[in-house]
Amino acid sequence: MMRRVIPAAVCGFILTFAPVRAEEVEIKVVKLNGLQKAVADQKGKIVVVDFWATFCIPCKEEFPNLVKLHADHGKKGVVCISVSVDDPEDKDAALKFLKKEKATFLNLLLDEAPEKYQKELNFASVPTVLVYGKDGKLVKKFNATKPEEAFTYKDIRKVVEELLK
Amino acid sequence: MAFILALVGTAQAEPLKIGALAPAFSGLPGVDGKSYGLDDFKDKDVLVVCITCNHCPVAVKYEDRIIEFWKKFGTGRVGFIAINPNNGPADRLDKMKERAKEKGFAFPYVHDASQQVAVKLGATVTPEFFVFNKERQLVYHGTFDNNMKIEKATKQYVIPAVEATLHGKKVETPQTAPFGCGIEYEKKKK
Repeated sequence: MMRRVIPAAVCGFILTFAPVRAEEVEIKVVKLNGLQKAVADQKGKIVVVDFWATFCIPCKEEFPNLVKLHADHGKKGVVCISVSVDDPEDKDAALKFLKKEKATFLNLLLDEAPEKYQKELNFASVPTVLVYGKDGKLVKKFNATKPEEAFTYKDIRKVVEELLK
Repeated sequence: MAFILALVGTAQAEPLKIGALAPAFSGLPGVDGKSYGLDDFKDKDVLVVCITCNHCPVAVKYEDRIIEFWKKFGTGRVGFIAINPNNGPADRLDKMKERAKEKGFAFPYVHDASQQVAVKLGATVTPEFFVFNKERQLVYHGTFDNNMKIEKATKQYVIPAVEATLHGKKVETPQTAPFGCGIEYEKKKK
């Protein structure tokens, strides 16, 4: 019995603390319809879409909280998607950041004119986080256009955890 | 259902509409030790308000373009004011003074600590530009040009808007999608 338990325990230890390999983190350049499809494909789950950019310092400061949300709830039906609004020629810089943050969820780079996606998605600035319910409909848009709308992942988690009930 | 409705939330701030009047503002402290308000520019035929800040990489990329704009237009019939609505450590007035000195800003660069001028303009990013005519009606809102990387900027927006307005002509492109770092709006501490 002990001969089987010890190797199993060792494997469990290794798997728990195994480092994330950099090659597990990827980024895919998409147009707006690609982003919309990525969200629609997750119908039945709660989807958190985090819009960021390499030039957005507050976005990068909060990003670890998206990674934590994925770690805490990823297996409970919460899908995290990051969307960079960087210039596609800055894709490598975006990927470098994502690898550093160990963002092992779907990462997209939105190759679309701001005029188009801002109008379609109804926000003009990053950071912005959209939370979609299991029915695929937008439940909450986190985007600060005035002081009262300032948000952090503490606010986002409240919404996600309420939807998980 | 009530929870969902609560989540959807109240209306977001809308940007100032083309044709709307510039919001009044006063007493904004500048890097030169003076205070500035809308009335300080009453003798100018055109006023350009630039919402910007110290730390945002996009705003930094536009500094040289703003300096050149000031050199070309700033001492004549065109007024220009750069307003920083952020309150982070890198955006405090003392840091603004350092940056202004380092880059040789000769235009008013002021701090909007209450963030209310930015809110009244409906500004959401840095940098974001608002061009007003002599009557202080908004004639252009959006980006300075079509790319934050100067080598890829092939289309100007603020300069043509200013020139058209100076000559009493209609602005060809009155609105573009602003692009930059989100303004760091903060909830008021109770």
